[in-house]
Amino acid sequence: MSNRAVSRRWSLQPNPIVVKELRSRMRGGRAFILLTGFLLGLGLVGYALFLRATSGQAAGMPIFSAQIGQTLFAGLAFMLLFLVILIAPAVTVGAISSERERLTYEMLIATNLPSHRLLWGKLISALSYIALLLLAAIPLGSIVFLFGGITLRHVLQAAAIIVLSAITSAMLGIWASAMTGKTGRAAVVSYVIIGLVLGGFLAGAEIWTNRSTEPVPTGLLAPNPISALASSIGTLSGPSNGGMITTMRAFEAVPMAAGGGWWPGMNSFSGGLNFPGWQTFSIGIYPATDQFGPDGMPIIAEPRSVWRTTLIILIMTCLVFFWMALHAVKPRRRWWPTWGDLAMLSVTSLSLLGLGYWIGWWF
Amino acid sequence: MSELAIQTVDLLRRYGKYTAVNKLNLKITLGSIFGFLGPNGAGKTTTLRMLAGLLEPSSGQVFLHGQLIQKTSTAAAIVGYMPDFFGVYDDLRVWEYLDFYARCHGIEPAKRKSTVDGLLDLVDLSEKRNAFVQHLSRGMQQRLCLAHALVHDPKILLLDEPASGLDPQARVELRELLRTLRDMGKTIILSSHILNELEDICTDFGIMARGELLAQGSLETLRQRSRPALQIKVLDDLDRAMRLIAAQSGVLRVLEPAEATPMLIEVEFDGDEQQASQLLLNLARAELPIADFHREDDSLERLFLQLVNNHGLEERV
Repeated sequence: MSNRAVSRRWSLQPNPIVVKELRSRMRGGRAFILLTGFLLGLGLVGYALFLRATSGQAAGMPIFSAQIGQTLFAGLAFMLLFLVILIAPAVTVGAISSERERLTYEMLIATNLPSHRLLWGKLISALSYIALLLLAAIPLGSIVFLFGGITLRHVLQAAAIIVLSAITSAMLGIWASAMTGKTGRAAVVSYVIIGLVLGGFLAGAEIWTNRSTEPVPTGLLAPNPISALASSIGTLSGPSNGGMITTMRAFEAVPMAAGGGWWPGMNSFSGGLNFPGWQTFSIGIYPATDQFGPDGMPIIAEPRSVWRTTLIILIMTCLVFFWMALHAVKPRRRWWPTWGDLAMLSVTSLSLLGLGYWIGWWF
Repeated sequence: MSELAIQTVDLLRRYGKYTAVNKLNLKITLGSIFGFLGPNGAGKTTTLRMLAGLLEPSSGQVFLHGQLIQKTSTAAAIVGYMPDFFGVYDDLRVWEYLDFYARCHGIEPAKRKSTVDGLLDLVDLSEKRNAFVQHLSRGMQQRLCLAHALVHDPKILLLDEPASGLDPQARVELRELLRTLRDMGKTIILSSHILNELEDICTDFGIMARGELLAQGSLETLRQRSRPALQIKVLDDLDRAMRLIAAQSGVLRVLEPAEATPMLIEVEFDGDEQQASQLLLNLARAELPIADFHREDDSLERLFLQLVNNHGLEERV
């Protein structure tokens, strides 16, 4: 039977790598201990956020249920973002290198399994575990809806940013694993890159803000999932006149003075989003204007919406990592371009251009 | 070419300036058990990896059953490969291990169970079906690894040092298993440094040293290439003994003693028994202290050493 026929025959079957990884990963207590720790940590963070959001109540300050909901939502979303970005590479840095280290790699590539099925299998099995963590967190996260203050749009935006960040982070681990061939080295490379992206761009935005009155360039915000999530959460509506919760969309709103504005980060009435780090995460998201409100405070412009650009950057990064890893795992002629590469490049470029024109994000 | 299971044409592999395999022209017939012999660094593993499609040759060609190998997948369909060093996946049961490789080879679900059961039976691991692979003994893991190479019923088996690390009992079992596979019509290529193990089981041999194929063929063919030899051990006066031996009739060449056996002289000798007797008598008359004097046997080990040593001498010259 020809290779093509063999490939066609099993292409309809479940990916062998996924079957094997799921069989072995879920054995023993390790996976369940991590899941329990993850949920306990998230629960404790949620409770701490709740206590913090309601701390002013004892001093007689009015607290709106929506404020608690928004604080919980934002805090848990950032917590989830950090956790998946940090956990995903831990699951994938050994994807290829551990096969080399435990001397199973040659036996694996000497089978009929194509390189892309091998990589997909590794990615899907890692992501299925991350998905398990995220799905297990849903009941905890849904507590937010008891308090209100958030919209479905914000939930979906945050979910898109978190899920794509997890996929990119997992793909980064697989890329480092395939390129370095050593799990320890792959872990160092992955976490250094993550540190540089998350911390480096925030530091860059901070330095820019301190040294220039111009808005922080999109190039310093869009590559960072933290800024992307902050730009999405930053459009949450806060309490307005009479303490009513507005449902006004951010882009339809008239910029307000910082003293009486409704942007969550700047809302003096509620004290803003009341969790540690928000001011740092939202650097560059709220550009100051040169106008002043009736109360003499500078008017804050509407939040920068960078999350859509971030999603495109994450997708592109994933594709580049996947392409490089795909070639790195090949036993022969690793870096020879193939027709598949050309097809992938063409389809990706056309899709992105089409998307860009259709939505008008770039033009 | 169709009569050949494997043919290589000027196969060459370089690592930088180092040539691991040099213009290898190998011909292995269908259904044979081919023993690949050579000292460490001879290029056996590199050759096997190129045959398995896992390593790109620097130049030259590999034909498996007449098919030119240009992609790993082409070789994977024809070849079952067992590396010299291999690992196992933890937390997988024995049947799951074979099931995984069956899936990787695209075996249909309906056939997978019977394939796994058949292989477990073949390698005598049916009783360990539900054991975790990391808990198997070394010999059992070796047999399991051999089973993994058979999962897609390949026509050619490439086994790199399959007997290394096995106890004598496990070696006997492996030898029996290889005979069974030969009876099933497989062409088997195995490399080993345990020469007497190969002598019993292989139908053909290839001897490699420093990346070159020194000789190839059946044991009889190789014996014809070898020269008979005498081994003479003296206790003292080595130089005088070597000069005297070199002057005797029937002596073709006197080899320098190896470092490990500094007083043992190997003599290439094509004389008859009368001449051998005269040689011994002359040594005795010269009052040289002879501790041992014997004709060498025709074992594979001696053939191997002779070819490899001669190759080393030729290179130095």
